[in-house]
Amino acid sequence: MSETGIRDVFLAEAREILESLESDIVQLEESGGNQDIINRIFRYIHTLKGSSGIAGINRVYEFTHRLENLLDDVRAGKLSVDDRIIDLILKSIDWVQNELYCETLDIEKSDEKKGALLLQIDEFMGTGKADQVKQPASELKLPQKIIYHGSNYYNVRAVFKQDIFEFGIDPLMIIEDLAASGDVVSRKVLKSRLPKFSDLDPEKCYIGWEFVIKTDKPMSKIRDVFLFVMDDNEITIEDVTQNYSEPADDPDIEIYEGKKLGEIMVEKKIISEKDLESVINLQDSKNEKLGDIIIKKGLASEKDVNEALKDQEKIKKKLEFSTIRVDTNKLDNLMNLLGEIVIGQSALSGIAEEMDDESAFLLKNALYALDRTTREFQEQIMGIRMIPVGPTFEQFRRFVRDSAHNVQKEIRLVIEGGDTELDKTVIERINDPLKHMIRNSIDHGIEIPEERIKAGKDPAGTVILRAYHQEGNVFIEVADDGKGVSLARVREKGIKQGLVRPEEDIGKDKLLSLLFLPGFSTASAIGDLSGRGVGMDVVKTNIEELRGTVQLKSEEGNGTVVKIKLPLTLAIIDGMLVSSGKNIYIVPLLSVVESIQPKKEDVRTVEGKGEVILVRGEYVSLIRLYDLFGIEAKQTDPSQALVVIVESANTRVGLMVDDLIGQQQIVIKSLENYITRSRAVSGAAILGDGKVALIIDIHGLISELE
Amino acid sequence: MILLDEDVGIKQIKGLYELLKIELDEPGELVIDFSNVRRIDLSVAQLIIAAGRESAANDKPVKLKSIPDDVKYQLHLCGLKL
Repeated sequence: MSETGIRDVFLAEAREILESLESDIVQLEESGGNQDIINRIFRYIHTLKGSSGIAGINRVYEFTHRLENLLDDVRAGKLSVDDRIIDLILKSIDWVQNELYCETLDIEKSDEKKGALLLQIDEFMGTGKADQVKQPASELKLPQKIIYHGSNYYNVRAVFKQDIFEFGIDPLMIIEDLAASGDVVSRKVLKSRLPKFSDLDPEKCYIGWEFVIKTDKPMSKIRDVFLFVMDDNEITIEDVTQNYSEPADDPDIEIYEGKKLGEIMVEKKIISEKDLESVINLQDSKNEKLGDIIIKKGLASEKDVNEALKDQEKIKKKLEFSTIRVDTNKLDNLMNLLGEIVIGQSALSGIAEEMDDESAFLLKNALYALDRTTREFQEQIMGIRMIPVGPTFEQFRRFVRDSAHNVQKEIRLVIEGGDTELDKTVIERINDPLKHMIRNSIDHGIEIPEERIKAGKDPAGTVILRAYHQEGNVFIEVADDGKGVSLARVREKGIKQGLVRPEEDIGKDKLLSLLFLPGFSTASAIGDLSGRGVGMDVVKTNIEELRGTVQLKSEEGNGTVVKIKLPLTLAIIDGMLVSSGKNIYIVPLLSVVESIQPKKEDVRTVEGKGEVILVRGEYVSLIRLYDLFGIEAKQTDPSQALVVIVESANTRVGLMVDDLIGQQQIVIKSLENYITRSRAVSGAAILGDGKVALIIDIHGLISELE
Repeated sequence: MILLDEDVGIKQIKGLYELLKIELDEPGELVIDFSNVRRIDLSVAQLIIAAGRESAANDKPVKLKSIPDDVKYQLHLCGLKL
């Protein structure tokens, strides 16, 4: 891997680590010093240190080295977890983040900050170490390592290529990392390549290692230590657990990954299921290894058991290799290519339709089979793009903590449904809207502790970030147990801004929807966080751009819930193809309620509402698609045309079209702003015959009409 | 005596090698002072090992002085008995 490659991999890895770190540090504060979290934070800092060194980012390496020492003292109980130390660690993380990702980094300022932070670290360490008895210089004191009680044994052989130093890599740093990832059972330093002093080229690497490490980590984690050097150097990692006779704490540990030994032996028909059951019962009572019992009972030979164990190892290795990092652009390209295949497929279907012999039948059959495969292919790619929302939610722990401190409030962030999966692109784009909503909860929702006590509430408020799947969509809620929205104030503000007539009887939902209008805010004072009249309209716009909707529910005195509904993916929709004139349009199937041919007498014009049709006793606005797009239609009489009733955010409209063509999965191609500024169009799709069809954005269309 | 820098490593290794060459040719004990050193890299560790072998072959004592604990651990990982 080139130096730039190493740096890029490190920067991607560091971003994830820093995000996890922030969340863990805030949780550490909330937990009052949970040892597991401390250990995790230490390991993150240790990885940042090691990897930054390997990537040649020495400023970060040196800084994190000092930070690691501080964490080491925290881990050892020499320093206690309090506000000051949490602040210091968070600020240190900020410094690292800035150093790594700020494009306009001011080195002088950064150095100043670093100096101040290191001074604070030294102060803490000084206090922490004051009582320590100094060790005699002669005594070799090895740095304290993380204690592992693992039962995996790995034989690691690492021989580095001689010019490795030229790539800015220090193998010793890697070996230090390896040694820190478990207990070193044995270590052999391979010095045979080291020449005589006089023949030595000091810029070449001659030393290699062979280690046996005992650890609770899976092999993939040990492999990660060698992430940057795996390709070009002789690195072998072998699971040698079975060579070490130490019994596992739990008989299940030997089979925690992949298939169980007994399962493999049954599959290979070495033993029967009944035999396996009896052996398992014996194992429970005797606490012996399964393989040993099988041999003792004469159910299989030692050779058979060993072969099954080898198979088990192979499966384990396969599992360890089953995750890789993939550039998301590659996934996007894959999706686009698949879109092209779908287009080609539609073109072939069109040709098959026009053929009129046995070949057409055969071609159609082949295309049906291909369609099934491409659909599955599509689902698989979409599955790869799906990632859990948890890490995005976790980032807000720090934000809530700092923001709450700024406004002297006590606020707890509760995360629910973090494992709910959503398309990566959608996740990336909900970050800002979520931040706006959390800001509102902190600034205007949650009351100060005194007010909360007066209202009979817990002095600490709660903000809940919740995600869940429902009906093919993902819902994300930001809920708080604050004072809720004052409807009287919304109404008052609405009247002031001319949005509500003083005598108008307006419902609660309509009143709350005013909060999503640009420049509408009920905040009496402009806070640091929000209350500037921007925010909820931006949230709404951003969510709608994602083909989602946002709803606000509030109970005065009890809190507010903002509910966002999002599609699982932005890449594909199920669409209904409709025609108007010579053009074809796509209506998202999720928005379609029904299709009707209205009677002449059901079409009317109502003052203030324009043209409407009566559908099941309810008047629905009629939109003539040909009028909307300024084209010529075949049918201009609604009673001769078809009307597709669509719905968005509880509002229904009827789209008048010439004909319905059919349903199809559509791979969306985005339209740049310069092609259309209409909110009624969300994108386009290429049809089988190569024609472009516009995709109608029902939500945008209704908003535009309103 | 050779006094090593705070972050002695690959960038200074050629200079250190030349310095050691001269010192190893000089009579008497060779002292390498680690008191300023915070950490070393593998190039330094293997140079120290090679220099140690050379001096042992020539019956010239080498003394490593004031090695910080972290550096001791690094040398230990490289198989140096301290």
